[in-house]
Amino acid sequence: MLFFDQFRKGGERLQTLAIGITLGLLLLLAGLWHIQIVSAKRYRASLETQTYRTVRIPAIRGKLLDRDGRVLAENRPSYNLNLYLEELRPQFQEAFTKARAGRRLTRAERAQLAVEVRWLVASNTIDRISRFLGEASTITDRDFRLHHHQWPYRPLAVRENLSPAQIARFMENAPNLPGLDIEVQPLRHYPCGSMAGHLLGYLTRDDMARDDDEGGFSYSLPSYEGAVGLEYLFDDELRGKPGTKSVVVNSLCYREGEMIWLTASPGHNAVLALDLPMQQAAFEALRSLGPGTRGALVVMDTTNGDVLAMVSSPAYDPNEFVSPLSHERWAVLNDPRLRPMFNRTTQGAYNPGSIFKIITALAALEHGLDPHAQIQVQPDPRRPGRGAIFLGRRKIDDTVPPGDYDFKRAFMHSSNSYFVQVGLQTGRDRLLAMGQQFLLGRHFGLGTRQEVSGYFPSPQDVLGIWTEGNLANACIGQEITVTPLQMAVMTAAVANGGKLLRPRLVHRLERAEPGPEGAVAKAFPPRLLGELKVHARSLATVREAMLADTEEPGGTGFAAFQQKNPLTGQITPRIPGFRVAGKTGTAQVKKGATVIDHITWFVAFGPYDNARYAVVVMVESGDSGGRTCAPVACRVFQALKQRFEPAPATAPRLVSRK
Amino acid sequence: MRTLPLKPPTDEVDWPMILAVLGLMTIGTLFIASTTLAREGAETLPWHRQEHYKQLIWYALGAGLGVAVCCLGHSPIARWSMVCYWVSILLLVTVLIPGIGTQHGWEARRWIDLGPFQFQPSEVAKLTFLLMMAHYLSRPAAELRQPMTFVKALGMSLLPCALILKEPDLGSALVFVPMGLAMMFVAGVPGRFLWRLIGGAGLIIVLLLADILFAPSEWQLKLEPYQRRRQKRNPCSA
Repeated sequence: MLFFDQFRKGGERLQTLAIGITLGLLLLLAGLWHIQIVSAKRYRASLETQTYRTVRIPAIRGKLLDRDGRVLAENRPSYNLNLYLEELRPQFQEAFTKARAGRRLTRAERAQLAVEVRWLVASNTIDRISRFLGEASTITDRDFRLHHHQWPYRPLAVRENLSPAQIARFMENAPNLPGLDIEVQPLRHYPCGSMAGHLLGYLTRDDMARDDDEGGFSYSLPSYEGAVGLEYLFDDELRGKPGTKSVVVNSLCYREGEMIWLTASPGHNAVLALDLPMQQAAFEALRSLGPGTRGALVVMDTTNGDVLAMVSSPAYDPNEFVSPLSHERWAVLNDPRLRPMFNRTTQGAYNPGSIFKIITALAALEHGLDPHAQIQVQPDPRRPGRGAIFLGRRKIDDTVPPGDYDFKRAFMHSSNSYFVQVGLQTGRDRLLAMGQQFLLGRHFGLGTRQEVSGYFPSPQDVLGIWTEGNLANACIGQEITVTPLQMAVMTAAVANGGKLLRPRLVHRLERAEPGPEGAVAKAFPPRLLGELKVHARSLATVREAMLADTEEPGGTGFAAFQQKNPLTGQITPRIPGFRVAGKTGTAQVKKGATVIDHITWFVAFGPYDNARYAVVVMVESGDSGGRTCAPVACRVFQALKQRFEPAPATAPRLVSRK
Repeated sequence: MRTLPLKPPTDEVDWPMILAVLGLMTIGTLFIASTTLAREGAETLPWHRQEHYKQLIWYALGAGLGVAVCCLGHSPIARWSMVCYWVSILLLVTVLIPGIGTQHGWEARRWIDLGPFQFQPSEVAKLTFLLMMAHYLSRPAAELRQPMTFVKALGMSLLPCALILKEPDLGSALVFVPMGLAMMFVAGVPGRFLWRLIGGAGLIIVLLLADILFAPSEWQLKLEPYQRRRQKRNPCSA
């Protein structure tokens, strides 16, 4: 045979050498067999991971709807312009050849040149499209290099959210612009802008692969996650289930094709308790005080705890967070005085001031205070015509003139002396216990990342710490803090006869595509948090006094709810046929001994005879509760009356002129 | 110097050898084609710039040279072999001079730049060494048994080896000594010389390997990381 013949040629030594070399070659062959056959499976597996990139497709985020299905947050198609790098490869090569110009280059120089040429080609393309779009490009050399290095198979986003004109201009010139294409992506949109910004919250963008989730994604398409508010609370439910697609890449990681394994299933829609027209009315009512108003407004249904409107001012527009924010904008949103990012309705803990007298009154009435008993308010020797109360060496100013006051008169004029006296008689423990019945000092567990509990101690907490002075302060709402939402729950409980209702933000979660199980994925029925252990008579006394505050001349809320005809001098209610009962409050913000600011309040419910709505208005640096907040509440009640009063069955009667 | 009669020239064609060479050429071209065609932009290059076509051109040139050498016969080659060897040694020295040898972006100085192409003197040295050794060892058995002949042959093997190590190019350098030893073995240098040499060298290699692989790091010889990896993975390939 040809092969073995070779071994018989030549001398003995040559044959030995031939055998030695043959053995060496056999050894190589064995090595080859080991690599190609024994280890084949391992190499094939690593080949697979090199050729597929798994990509996560975010699902369409569920909508946020108001109680009647009006849209608060939805998804709009965003037309994004993408640069597909693999389509630029011929241009890369061409430009490279031209730039090299037949020069001899070392490997490092070649690599450097290739990087420069790629950026040149890409930036030229981007520059050309920017001219068509009439907008400067924002992609930098560094961004591009990073993108090409990390994800050459992934399209590079050149411009997001193109305007219709830009789309048209692009389509016209598309044939001359290789490598560019438009892709449609859902983009979160809040049609009412900043109107309900705080309650809805906002999204933050998350571009990176999320390996902690389902694992193994090479990268995720841009997805968003709720940062705060309802977007945060229901993030999982709204987000839906992301789909998966595989991108086939070649040995240089450029994209060759795509395959969708699992389509994304959209998230649930959330139906809120919010009423959009009411929210708008509340928003505008609070804004009527001026654009820089720092305040909060809550409208709550006293029968079931539904939050019909919830406004914090100044507000932010959640649409702003969808695309990256500039540093300047971020600084504006975090202004230390205005704090637009701060949800004052649930995140702000303020001294309640005189609105706390509702609780002091209930504690005293339960302790046996006779509402008709007259209590004397001492005159203040320094301020003629004004009262004061003296505790040892300390003096607490009163806004009312000295004289004898019964409960209703003291309440509607908001006498500090009266309530300090009855509060001290009632005692610290009873007062604090009453406040705790109203769930003060505790948060509702809304889960929106915007809630604080306020400061309201239990009797044990302040045992031996609080002096009589501290207690006197607490009686008039100075020593403690509450949130506007807590005050809404308190007002509703007074109005509805003692039921403490959990503020209900959301009615239900609905499936985007109703299946056989029906549309409702999860319902949130109204929840009773507790019932006040007080006599109905005490509550009625407080309600009557609250009514007097707005209806009887001299009441702190009188001017806001009654108008005087300048010609006849006749006094008529501003909201005919809708009686409102309320309480004003003006808390002092002190630095040391000097008053530096006021927190003004107005809490109210109406209609008086059949209480349905509780309204809380809080304004920082206001003038006074009666002058600043009560008129805002009046506007809100007007809107409530218009919106929810049953419309007349027939056309309104024409008033005949006499 | 030549005393033994050489095999007379015949008209017989060594078909197995020609077939083997043709087979290697075919496989080589296919390999080059399959690895370079996948490269970015390869298809846009003109055919004469593509690597596998280039290889075919070299084959044609090489085949022409081979036929020319066959026509020439081996006596002129044998006569000039010693000269060629020393010239290539000269080239190996030249390439070490910084102005003449180029580095090509690598650490090692291995190439001589001749404008349109570069060449590695070590590749030339392999061929001339082979011819020189064949010529040098073609002498009577009595002469081959003299220790001086063995020492000279060994010296001439170690010289290019040392020069190439200086470049450095360990892979090429290590070719010379086994090549020389194999030729000496076939030519008839007494086995005891060879075994002693291999034994001694083997001992040194074992000691070196032990030093590289197991000694505390401050006592180790300095190796390039890639060389060290090769050692660890497959010590016999060194």
